[in-house]
Amino acid sequence: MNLKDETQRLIYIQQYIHNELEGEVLDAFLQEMDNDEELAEEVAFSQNLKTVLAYNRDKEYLEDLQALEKELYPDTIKSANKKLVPGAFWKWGIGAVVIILGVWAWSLLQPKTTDALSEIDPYPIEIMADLSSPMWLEAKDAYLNGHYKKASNLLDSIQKEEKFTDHYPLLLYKSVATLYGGNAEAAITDLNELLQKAEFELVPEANLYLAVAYFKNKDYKKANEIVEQLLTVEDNYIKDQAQELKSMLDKQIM
Amino acid sequence: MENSDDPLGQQLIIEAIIDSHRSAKHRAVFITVYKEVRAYTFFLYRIYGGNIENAPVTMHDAILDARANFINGKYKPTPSGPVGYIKGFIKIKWKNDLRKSKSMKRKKNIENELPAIYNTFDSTEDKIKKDENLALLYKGLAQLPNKQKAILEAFYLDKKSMKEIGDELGIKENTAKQRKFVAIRKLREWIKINLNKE
Repeated sequence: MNLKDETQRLIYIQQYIHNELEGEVLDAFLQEMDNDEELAEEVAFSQNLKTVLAYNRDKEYLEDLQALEKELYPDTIKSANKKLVPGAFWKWGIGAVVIILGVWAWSLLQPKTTDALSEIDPYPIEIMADLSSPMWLEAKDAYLNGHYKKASNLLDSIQKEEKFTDHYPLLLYKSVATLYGGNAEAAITDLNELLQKAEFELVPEANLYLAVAYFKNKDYKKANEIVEQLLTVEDNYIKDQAQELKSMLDKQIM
Repeated sequence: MENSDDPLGQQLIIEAIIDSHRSAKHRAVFITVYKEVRAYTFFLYRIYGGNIENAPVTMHDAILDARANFINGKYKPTPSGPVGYIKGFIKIKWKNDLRKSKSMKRKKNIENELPAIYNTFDSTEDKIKKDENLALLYKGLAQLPNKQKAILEAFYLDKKSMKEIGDELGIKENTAKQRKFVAIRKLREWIKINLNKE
């Protein structure tokens, strides 16, 4: 082991602090450290430096994440940090009570209609490993930001251009985007088509949004039939959403 | 276009998570990833419970842990991809948060055991606070110019050789070595001066 050569010495120290030395080489290096105080000190210093550099890099990265959160979602941060002073609390509190009472009185005067789209969340969009094109990223961005018409159009283009006729998650997201973009009729056609395809792993999800689409189209009977089935599935998320839809349907059917 | 070294197309996403400032494209990808994992985190908190105010912290910690494994090569590509991997960390941290807030009632259907690939790394904050040498070194690091800091990071964290560092920075290997040497000497002097002050 030649530790007199500066480059070799650096390589050995680097490998040692990353736990990459093994067997005889490791034994020889440890032996050198026992006999060479300067080397031992250099290794200890390098290990400390590695720890501090890693911490520093993480800290900078975390600050970057916090800045991004603030930039993309300023309202969330504001609402989380907002502290009301006692005087303001009463002013805002009384104001809020008046508004709530007003809204409640107004709602009593309105015909009973519920919008399923505002109660049922659009299915959380996933990154699909086989899709990483710029158009897909743009579609996802539009979906996540609630620009469903745009997302639907982009997903439709991806499907046609890439010939993804059997890419079921893509078709599901396209249908959901179409539905939330305001075209329940087209969503019903797409979702029914999707459900006819065999071995589709997202059947409960597709059924949930089909029920929402029927609800939106005021076809409460068909929506109810699907919801009854969904209440028996094991997936907690789907069951919760179906329960929500069921309570809305009950109000309509009564 | 499929790259044979990266059949699942995950490399760009991993690069963007490691360093989103590398290019405008990396930044755009990272923002999309961020939005996705954020939606997932808030989804967990909203649907299965927990204090929603903790959601950003949970998510940031998870991204940080996953990123450490992307850097040190512990992550092995899977079909769920790097984002799925971050979500695994989010789930662990969200569960820990739930345990702390004792609101475990609604999470029955979430599996209790997660694969061992989600190895978290220990926080070094406490270590730095307790160890005087580390604390001084940390303060000393803040005094260094960015160019020197970048060389130290590339050598001590990214395991790059001085030749590779020189090539990346467009300088000669010997110049890179010289900068590293100067940076180390400055840090040692900083520690010596400040230890003597105590």
